[in-house]
Amino acid sequence: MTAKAAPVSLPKASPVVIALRFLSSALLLALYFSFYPQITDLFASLFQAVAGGESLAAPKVAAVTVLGILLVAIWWKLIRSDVRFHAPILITYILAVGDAMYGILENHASPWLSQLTHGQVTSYSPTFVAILATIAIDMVLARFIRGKWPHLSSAYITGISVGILIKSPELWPFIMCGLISIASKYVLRVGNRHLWNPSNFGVTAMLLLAGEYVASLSVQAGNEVWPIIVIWAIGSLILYGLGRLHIPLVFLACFVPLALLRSSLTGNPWRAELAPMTWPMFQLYIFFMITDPPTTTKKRWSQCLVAALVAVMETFLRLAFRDVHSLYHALFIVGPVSNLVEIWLTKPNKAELSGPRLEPLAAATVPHSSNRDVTTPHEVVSLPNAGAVSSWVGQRGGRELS
Amino acid sequence: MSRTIKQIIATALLASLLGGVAAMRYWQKPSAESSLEGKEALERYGFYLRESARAAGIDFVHQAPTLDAKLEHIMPIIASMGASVQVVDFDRDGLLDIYVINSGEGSKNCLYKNMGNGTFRDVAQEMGVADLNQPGTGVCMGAVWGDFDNDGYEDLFVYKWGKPELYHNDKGKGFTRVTDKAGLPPWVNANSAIWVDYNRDGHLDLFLAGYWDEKLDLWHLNDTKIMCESFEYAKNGGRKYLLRNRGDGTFEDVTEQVGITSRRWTLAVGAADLCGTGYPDLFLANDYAVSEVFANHAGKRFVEIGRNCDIGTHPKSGMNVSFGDVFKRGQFGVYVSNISEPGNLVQGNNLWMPKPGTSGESLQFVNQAGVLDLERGGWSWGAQFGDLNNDGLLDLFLTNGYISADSPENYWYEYSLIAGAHKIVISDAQNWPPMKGRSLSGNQSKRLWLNRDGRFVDVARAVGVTDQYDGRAVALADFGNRGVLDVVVANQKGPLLLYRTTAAPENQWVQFELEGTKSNRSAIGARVTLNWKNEARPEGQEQIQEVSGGNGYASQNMRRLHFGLGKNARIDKAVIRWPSGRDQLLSDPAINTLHKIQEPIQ
Repeated sequence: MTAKAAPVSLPKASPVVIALRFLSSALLLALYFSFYPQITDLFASLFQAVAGGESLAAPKVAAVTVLGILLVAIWWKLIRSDVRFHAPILITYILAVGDAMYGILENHASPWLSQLTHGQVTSYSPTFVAILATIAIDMVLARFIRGKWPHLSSAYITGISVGILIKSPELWPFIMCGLISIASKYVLRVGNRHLWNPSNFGVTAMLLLAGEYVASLSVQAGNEVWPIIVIWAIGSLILYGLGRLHIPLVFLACFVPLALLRSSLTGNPWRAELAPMTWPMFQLYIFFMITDPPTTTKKRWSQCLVAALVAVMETFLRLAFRDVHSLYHALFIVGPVSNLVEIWLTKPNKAELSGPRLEPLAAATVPHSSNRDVTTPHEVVSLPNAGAVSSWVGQRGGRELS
Repeated sequence: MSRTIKQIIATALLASLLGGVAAMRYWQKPSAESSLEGKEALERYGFYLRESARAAGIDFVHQAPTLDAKLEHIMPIIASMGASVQVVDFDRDGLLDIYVINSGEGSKNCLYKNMGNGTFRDVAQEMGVADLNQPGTGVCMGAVWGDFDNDGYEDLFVYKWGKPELYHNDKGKGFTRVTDKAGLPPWVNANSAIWVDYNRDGHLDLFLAGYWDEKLDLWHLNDTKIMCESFEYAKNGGRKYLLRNRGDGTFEDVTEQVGITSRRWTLAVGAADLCGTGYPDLFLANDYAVSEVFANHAGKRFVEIGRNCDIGTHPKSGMNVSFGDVFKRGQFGVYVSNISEPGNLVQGNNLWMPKPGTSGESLQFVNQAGVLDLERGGWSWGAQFGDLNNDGLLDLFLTNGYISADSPENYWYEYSLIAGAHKIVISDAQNWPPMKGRSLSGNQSKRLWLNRDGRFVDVARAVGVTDQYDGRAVALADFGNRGVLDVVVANQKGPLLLYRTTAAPENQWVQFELEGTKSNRSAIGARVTLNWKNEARPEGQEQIQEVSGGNGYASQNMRRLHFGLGKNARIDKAVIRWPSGRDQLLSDPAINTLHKIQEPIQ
C-alpha cells in the first residue's frame, strides 16, 4: 500500500532575512578563516589552562565546533523545521571534526588558483569540488528527467562521501566518482527504485576502472578509538531513529564468526581477521552504506538476511580473491540482486494493477521517498553513502517501510 | 521528449562517464618508452646512463639482517632497510670514493677507492671501516661523512640499529674508532643522521634520528609490541639526538635543551636554511606520520613549524628529504617520497614549495608534486635533485620498490587488514599476518624525471635506468671529474649500481668545492647563489645550492656543488654565503671548471 507523504512546511522568511543570514554566514566564515591561527591559539591556551597539556587536535575541534554551532544558530529556524538538513549537518560535522583532528580533507595545489588570487589561495579541497559536481549533476538530471529541482541534501552527502572514501592525488577521480554515483541513481533502476547504493557504485567503479589513481579510505583517523565512538554514536542515533540498527548489528554478528573461520582457513592471526572491525571505514560502511533505505529491502527480516548475505559474500571475496575492497564489492553484488528478488517477489499481479490508482508520492518535498514503490508516513532523506535519515528526531516511524 | 528517450540519454551519460574513467586510465598511463640507444637518448634528452658497477670493479651485494625469531613471520618487512651509500673523497686525492653499507650480521661495509682510471678498489678492510656489523653491536643502516675536527679530512659517522660509531680519518691513511671518547648514545635504532653546524660555531654537530624505540634490541625482544601505533599519527618511534660538538672531540646531547622532543619514526633528515635566517633548519621525513620542520632560532632553540606551514597536516609515509631550487627563484623545494600502490594506497610523493611571499616564521609551503608530475613513484625511497644533462634545470632521480619476493602473490591484502585497525592491533607484530614469501610493492622501476622547465617527464627507461631492484639510497657525484653527475644506487638485498652519465657536450657546467676556515672546514651549510645566462634564457637566471652533511634517504652526495648551465652559458657571478655569515663574491667565474674556494680569512 502507498500513503501520501506529509508535506514539509517550510517557514516563511522574507528575502531580506534570508539575505541577512547568508551575509552573517559569509561574514562568520570570512572571520573564521582570516583569524584561524589566532582562534586555534586561543583554544589551545584554554585547553592548556583547563587540561594542563598540549593538544594539536583539540583546539581545532573546538574551533570548528563553535563555528558549527554559530552557523546552526544563524539558520536554526530553517533547520528546525526541515529534517532533511539534519543528516547533511551531522555528516558535515563528522567531516569537519575528521579534518580538524586528522586532516582528512587533503588539499590539492593549483598554480592556476594561485595565479588567479595572486598567491592568496594556492590550493583547494577536492572534496568541495566533488560536492559541487554531485550537486550540479543531480540538479541537471532531476530537472531533465523529472522536470523539477531536487532537494540537494542527497547530492551534498554523496559529494562528502566521495571526498571521504576516495583517496587520490588527482582531481578528476573525485569529480568522476561523484558524477557516476549520482548518474547511477537515475539510470540503474527498476521501476521507481534504484538498485545500487550510489556511492557504493561510484567508488566500486573507480576502484575497478582507475585503480592506478584511486585508493579507498583505508588508513585514516589516527588508528584511535575516538573516531569509532563518534561514528557509532551518531550512526546509532540515526539508525535507531530509522529503526534500522538491526542491519549493522546483524552484519557484525555474522562478520565475527566469519572472521574466525577465515583465520582458521588462512592461518592469519584472528586479531588480524577481526581488525577490519576497528577501521573507521568499516564503521561508515556498516552504519551509512549497507543501511541506505532506497537501496535496501523493505522487510526487517529480509534486511537481516541481506546483511548476513553481504557478510558471507564479503568473506567469500576475501578467501577466493584476497580482495582488498571486499566490503564494497560484496554490497555491489548482493545489494542489487536482493533488490531485484524483492521487486520480483512483490510484483503486483494484474488484478492489483487494475485496481484503484494510487496517489502519486509527494516527490517535490520528499525526493528520495518518491523512488520507492511504498512509502512511509514521514519523510525520508536518502544518504547515498551515508544511509538515510528519516524524521529520526523523536520517532521511529521509518522502521517498517511497508 | 518522452521519459524513455530521457532515460536513454541518461544511460548514455553514465556509460560515457564510465568510459571516460577507463579512457583516463590509459590516457594518463606513464609512457613505457623502451630503452634508447645512447646517441638517440643524447639527441632526445641530452644524456644517457649506463650501468657499469661490475666493469668498475664494484661487486657489492647488500645483505639484510636476521632479527629476533619472534618477528620471523614478517621478517622481510622488519629487515627491509639498510642499503645505503655515501660519496666522499676520504683521502683528498681529488677523486670521489664510495662508501657502501651492509646490514647482515657479520657482513662488511665497503669503501671503494676511486683509482682514477674508471675503476674502484675496496679498501674498507685496510682502512678499518669494514667490520661494523659484528654480532652484539647491531647492524649498519647508513653513514654520513663530515670533518668534525676540522683537520681537513672527512670523518665517518655510522648509524645503526645498534651501537653508533664514529671514526676519525687519519689523513686518508686509515681510520681510528673514537666512539667511546665522543660520548655518543650507547644504542639507537636509527635510519638517518646528518652533520650540521646548527649554531654556526665552526664545529660540525650531529643530528641523529631514531626510527625504532632506542630501548629495543631487535635481536632480543621481550615481546612483539614494537610496531608503530598508527600508520598516520605514530609517536612511539625512536628519540632524536642533537649532539653539539664541543670542539674537543666530544659531543654534548642538547636535544631537549633546544626543544626537539619528537618521537616519530624518522627515515630521513635534511638541513638547509629554509626560513631565511642564515641558520640551518631541520626537516624530518617521518614514516607513519607527518613530516616535521624545526625552525632554527639563532642556534639556540628549534621550534616545530610544520603544523603551521601545511607540511605537518598531511600524514603520509615520509622516506626522503631532498632540497632543490626547482623554480630557480632562490628558494628550496623539499621532495619527500611516500607510498603509492595502485588500488591500495595512493599517497603520492610531495614536493613542498615555499608559498611566494612567505618566509621566516610565517613560511608556508604548498605541495606541487602533482602539478609538476613528480607525484607518482611507487613505494618510494631515496631521491636526489641534480642536473644530469647540464641543461640548467634540476632533474630528479627516485628509487622505488619495497620487497621483491618470488611468490606471485603480494602482501597488500594482508597489509590492508591491519593498516586501518586500532593501535592495539597494529602495534603488536604478533597480530600481523605472516608474509609467506609474498612481495609487497616489489619489482618497481626507478624514476628519472627530466625537468622540462615547468613539468617533469620520466625518462628512466629511455636513458638506460632499467633495473627493478628494491631501491633505497641514491647519491650523485662526478666520479670521473668530467663535469657530469653519475648516479650510484644502493638496493636492499641487491647489488650496488653505478650509472655512468654521458651528457651532451654542448651543455656546460660549473662546480664549486668549498673549504671553510672560520666556518666548519667541510663548509656544510655554505650556500652558493649562481647567476648566469644561457641560450635558452638570455635574460638570466639564478639558482641556489647548499653544501650538505647528508642528503636524501641514507645517502650523501658529493660535497661539491654542481651546476648545469645549458648552452652558450656565461656566469655573471656566484655569491657564497659561508656558515660563519661571511659573503664572498666571485665575478664571472669560468665555466666547465671545478672551482676550489677557501673561505677568506678576513
